[in-house]
Amino acid sequence: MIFGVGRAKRDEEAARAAFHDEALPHMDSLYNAAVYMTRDPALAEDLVQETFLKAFRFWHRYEQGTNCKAWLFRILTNTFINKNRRKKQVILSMDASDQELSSDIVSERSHFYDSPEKDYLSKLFPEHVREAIEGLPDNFRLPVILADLHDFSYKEIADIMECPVGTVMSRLFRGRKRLQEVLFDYAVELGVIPREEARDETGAVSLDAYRARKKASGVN
Amino acid sequence: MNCDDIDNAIYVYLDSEFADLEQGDFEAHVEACPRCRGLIAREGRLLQSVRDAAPRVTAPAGLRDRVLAALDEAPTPLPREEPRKAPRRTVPSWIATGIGLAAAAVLVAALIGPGGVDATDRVATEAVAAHQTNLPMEVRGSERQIRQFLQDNVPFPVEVPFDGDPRVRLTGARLTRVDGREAVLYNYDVDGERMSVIQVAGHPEDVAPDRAPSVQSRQGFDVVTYRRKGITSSVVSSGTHPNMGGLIQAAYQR
Repeated sequence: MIFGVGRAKRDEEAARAAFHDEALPHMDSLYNAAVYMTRDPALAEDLVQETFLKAFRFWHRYEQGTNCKAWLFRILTNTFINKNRRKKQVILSMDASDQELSSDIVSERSHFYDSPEKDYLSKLFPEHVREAIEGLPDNFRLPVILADLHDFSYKEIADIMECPVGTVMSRLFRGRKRLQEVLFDYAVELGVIPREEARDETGAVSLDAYRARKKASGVN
Repeated sequence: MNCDDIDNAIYVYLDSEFADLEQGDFEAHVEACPRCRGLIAREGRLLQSVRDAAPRVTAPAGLRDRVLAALDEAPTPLPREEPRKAPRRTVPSWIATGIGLAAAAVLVAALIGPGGVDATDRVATEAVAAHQTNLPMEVRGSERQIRQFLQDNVPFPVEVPFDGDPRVRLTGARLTRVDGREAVLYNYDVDGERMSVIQVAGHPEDVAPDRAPSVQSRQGFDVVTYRRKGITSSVVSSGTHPNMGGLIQAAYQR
């Protein structure tokens, strides 16, 4: 009996030590992602704390030697989604909005893809980039945070968000496109891009040029 | 690939997520197409500038202290799972033996007839074991408190059975394990009789189809098991309730 108690105690100490070594070093990353998710430093702190407590509770489920950061991000993302679900109805019923948006893509793309003004965006301020990312709807913001701020692969993001890789690809595509549009608008507002160069109602002109060029260049 | 394909796949390329074969197709087109070369250069620069410009924040010092303090108070984590082993039993051996026999009986039945042993059988078996041992609950109190506990502690989707059904009263819940997977054990009061429900979530990547309620006999109990949205629920009751069937149908169909 005494042996059993001693062993349980050793197991507990080992589990705590392993958690400190493997999980806690990811706090900065988790907090950074949490701020972009919640858009609120105080809520982000709560989210990170909750994530660590859940992770500790389910530490036995983490397979040692696998990707601890991705595992923690999965808990973080799940917790965030679950908390939000109560406030906003079912943010993950994404398929409907996926469909809805697909028709936008072509027009979104056509005035954007060939415009060299996009390079002006590199002069934007960090605060605008933060605002633009935070302004994305959850379904697009999460993959952008995971891919562009935390360098997760598509497969890892699919695991974290519990969705197929194809869904990651399309959400990331739309999230980034939307981000570009917002940043482009900032750039125009700030005068980084001269207003006369910016697309507006007359955007149809550049669209025509694009289509003409596209037609001329043939299938390939 | 044509220019439209390049448009669609540009991030797959920039993120280095292509399979080799597709990467070859992509590059073959780009090599011959100035328009797409320009596009890739611009998109690549833009992506990089967004990544570079996005501010990174580090955790405030106070957060680290708070987390460490909370972890000190937190209960010891469950022992590490041994993959592919029978779940640790927290029930007395005489019941465990009974369960072994019951499981064997099911196995024989599966060999003889259609149906087969699957996860739902094990959930039913565990539900009876949990009901018989009357495991202490981790949370008791109002339905609201119990829901809050579940919200805070369960990392997979659960669906509180008999949600809002006035014929039953939720009295407690605890986390448990079935077959190495996290599960929730609920206790209900139905006209003064105790009723137990075990819920186990499926693997996210393997959501099993819904399954209508079916009754099995275990240890003298009738166990009703059903699966909805990938979550398997097994219901065991001490009493015999004439409206039990109606209750469970309502839980399954809601």
